[in-house]
Amino acid sequence: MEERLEFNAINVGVLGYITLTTLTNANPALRFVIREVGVMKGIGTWTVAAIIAVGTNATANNLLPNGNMTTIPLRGRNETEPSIWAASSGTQIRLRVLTAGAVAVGTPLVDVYVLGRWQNITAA
Amino acid sequence: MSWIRGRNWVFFQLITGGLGRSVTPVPGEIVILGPAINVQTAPAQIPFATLTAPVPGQHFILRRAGVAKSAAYAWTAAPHVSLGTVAPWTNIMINSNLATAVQQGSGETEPDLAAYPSGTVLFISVNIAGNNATANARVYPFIIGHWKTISIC
Repeated sequence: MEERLEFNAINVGVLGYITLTTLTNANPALRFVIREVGVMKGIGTWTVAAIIAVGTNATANNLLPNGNMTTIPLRGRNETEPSIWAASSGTQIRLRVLTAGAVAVGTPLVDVYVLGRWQNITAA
Repeated sequence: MSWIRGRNWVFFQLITGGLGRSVTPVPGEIVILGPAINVQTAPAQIPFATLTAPVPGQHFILRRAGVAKSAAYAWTAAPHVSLGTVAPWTNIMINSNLATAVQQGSGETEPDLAAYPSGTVLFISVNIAGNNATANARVYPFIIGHWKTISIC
């Protein structure tokens, strides 16, 4: 079954890595096939555009490469084609803040979603 | 064969990418299919949907949009269309040549997401008129996304 995993109110005002989730399935044969990742800025007056990435690899950028979130309200970024990824149970999905964002009032927050499904991939 | 707002299941699956892949819709995923839009007059801006949030305060996270041509007849002039909410009507899909090839449309998604509040009216802009053998040139705009309560900074 297709799933949309959501991670809300992620603070992108500080540089570094943030673990969004650890993919978990009781059946170790299944892989989570990720076909899209998106990030939406929180509602506020953005004064500094955050640059972020999302991934399962060491540099956390294979799902969504370094993206400038801009300061335009109600805008975000997503990444779909051409790559999909099959992540095994236990894989961490992390968000990396490369340039910290800022808002006029409050905390610079973003909401992240991941689309995919658990699938038994054919063995070669 | 089941029908969805006048289009059959195959058409629906073609534009949503589900044909042959047995994809189960994402919970909360929404496909808004516009009505048949006549594109024989340009320039023209025609509303095709009004977003209405199921929960007050939610925004529609628009992830994908596109336009499919009607498939029944040979197209003799390729329409150029765009989608948007404000002039110049290109903020959802840039001006696109739908070509005269049969059963071919245009879609646009990456790299930007946009969040629209309830009440937003979506328009298709016909920038260059199209035509087909029966002078009944129609296209079908669609958008895909989900409703969400966006975090407040």
